[in-house]
Amino acid sequence: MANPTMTLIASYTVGSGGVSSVGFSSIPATYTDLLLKASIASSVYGEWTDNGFTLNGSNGPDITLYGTGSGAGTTADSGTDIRVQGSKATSGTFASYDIYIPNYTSSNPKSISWDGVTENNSTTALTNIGVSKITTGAVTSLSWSAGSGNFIQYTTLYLYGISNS
Amino acid sequence: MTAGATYVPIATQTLGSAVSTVTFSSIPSTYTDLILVFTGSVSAGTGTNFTLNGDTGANYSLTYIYGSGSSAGSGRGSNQSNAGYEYMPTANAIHTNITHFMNYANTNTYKTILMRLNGSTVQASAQANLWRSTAAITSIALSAPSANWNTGSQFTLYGIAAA
Repeated sequence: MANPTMTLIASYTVGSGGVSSVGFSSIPATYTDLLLKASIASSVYGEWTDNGFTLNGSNGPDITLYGTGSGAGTTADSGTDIRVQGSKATSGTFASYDIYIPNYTSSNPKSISWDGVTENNSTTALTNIGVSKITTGAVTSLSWSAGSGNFIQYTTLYLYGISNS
Repeated sequence: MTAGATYVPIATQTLGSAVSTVTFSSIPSTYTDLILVFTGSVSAGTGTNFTLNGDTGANYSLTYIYGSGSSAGSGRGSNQSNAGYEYMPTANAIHTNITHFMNYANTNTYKTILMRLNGSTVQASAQANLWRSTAAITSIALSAPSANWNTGSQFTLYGIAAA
């Protein structure tokens, strides 16, 4: 039997003052898939982080399915838009996201998926799933930019590698 | 750092040539759950499916929710002869699928399957399947009817152990 695999590659926690983008570089090519777990919030209400998620500096078209508690909807955009919680909505609340990037060392386009929630005890809460196609080679870096705001203090990201051998 | 005995790779298949069916067999019963990760494409538009333990009886059902970017909806099917898998209407379009087989080796319960389907230019979707069998899952056969899984498509089966 192969060894257990879900290995923490790197983590990042935003300090006081916030930052406009978070991410990782020099991602090793020693795994099969990547899993990013994020607890993340923006200084801007209901931030969609337009075009903000990139692999090797590239983004791509995305589709999101969401539920607000009063209805369900879907959106399509040209550039990997992932909604995160705005700290102005409810102080101290952070969106939670799992972002899965399979076969990330392949030269083929990447079909990434995410599951996220932005629950905040109000009607602006959002549960969503999404997918984006990003055309790039082997992934060596990922970045998530906050659009018009900043990612606030205590935003944390954990990047795991999952190996199939 | 390893996060305990999770995501143990059982088998992986990276296709060196196009095939219509990919099979995982002799799956051990030593884990709690299974996770099947797929990324790849098909040679022609099709609705893919899978069968468990070779069962082609009317023992499968499913419920799904989807968003295409322009419309959102939900649907279901009962008494199916196979389990619905990734909807892949466009040849060579890249898809990702992450499927959880819950309590797959329990011989007292029917098997519930939770799925995230990701057609990168088609839809974001979530699905629940049910296989009405108390048999432990020992094989999974994934089919692309009237098409092939393209060369380079990758399927990996992981075992998830109880904490």
